[in-house]
Amino acid sequence: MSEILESYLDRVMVYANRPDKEATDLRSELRDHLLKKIDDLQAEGLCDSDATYQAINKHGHPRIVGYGLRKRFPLVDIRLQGTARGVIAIGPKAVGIFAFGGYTAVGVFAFGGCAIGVIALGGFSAALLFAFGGIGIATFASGGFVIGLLAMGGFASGIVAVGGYAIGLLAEGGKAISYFDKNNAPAFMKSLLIFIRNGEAFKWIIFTFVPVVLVLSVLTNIFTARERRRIQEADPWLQE
Amino acid sequence: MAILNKKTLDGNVETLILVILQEGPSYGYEIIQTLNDRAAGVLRMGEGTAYPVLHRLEQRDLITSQWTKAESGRRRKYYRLTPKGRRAFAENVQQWKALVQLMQNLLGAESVGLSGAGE
Repeated sequence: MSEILESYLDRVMVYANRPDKEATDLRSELRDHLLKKIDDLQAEGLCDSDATYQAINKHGHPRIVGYGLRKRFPLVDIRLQGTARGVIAIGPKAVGIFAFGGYTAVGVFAFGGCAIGVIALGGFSAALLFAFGGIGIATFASGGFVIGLLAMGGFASGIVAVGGYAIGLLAEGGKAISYFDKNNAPAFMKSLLIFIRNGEAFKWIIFTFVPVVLVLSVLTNIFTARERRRIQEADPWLQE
Repeated sequence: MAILNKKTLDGNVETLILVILQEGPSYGYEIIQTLNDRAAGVLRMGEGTAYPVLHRLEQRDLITSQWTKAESGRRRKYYRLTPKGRRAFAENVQQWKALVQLMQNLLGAESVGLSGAGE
């Protein structure tokens, strides 16, 4: 039965992903807990195997226990399930300085299906500074449907808006609803409009953020695949 | 009596553990057993879920740990409150008394069976 116990602890430690010294102490602590539990269950009349299975069952799924035992906010946290939290966080949900989340990402730099941050790139992106995505809300937003102080996209709404459909204090595009006439608009608005209209902003976005999105997508997938391989190599039965 | 759900429990597990350790040094298994025994069915704490909380408390210097040899011969990690932990515990108790008092005032002590709890 000790083999089953050690196998369970192996699985927990794979997810906990701690340095050797910490892992040894952590493992000893959990082993003591489980052995004490087994002793108590045997004292209640259970046989060795039943007591072992019940002790493990009550202790919890290796993934949940292991992830719970990870260091708080490490330099890099990569998870296959749940929320990754770290300076660099990669997971289905991610919270970090640099957050890369399959579904949601919250961080200074956030990239994901739904990204929220100072700079956010994603299907839905909301950012203090810059948002780039299908739907974007930010000081400077660019994408399909965008709202911002400066908005540029298929449908753009903002102080200065440029797009297929544009609505704003100063708007220009295929169909535009603008409060100011181009001639009587404040100078700073006109400067911003010129900056966008002559294609500089568009080029800057295309040549900067599109490659960044592609590279980040590839890197996120590579790191996630490496993490999956690490877990599966440790225990082929430990499927996510 | 209803079982406390995770949402209600979140943020309070630390206080519960401090309550146990305030009574003296203890180890993970014993802490969980004591909590579950005293909870009388209101709380069902997963056994593996207490260790992240213990380690978090240790990182915040609210508790400290020491390895000793148990009667079984196995290594066992005992936790005890630090002075900082005692202060945190005292503050938490005050907060809880205030919350209980508030609930009594709003809901009525008898209807929630809390008479005397805030004293």
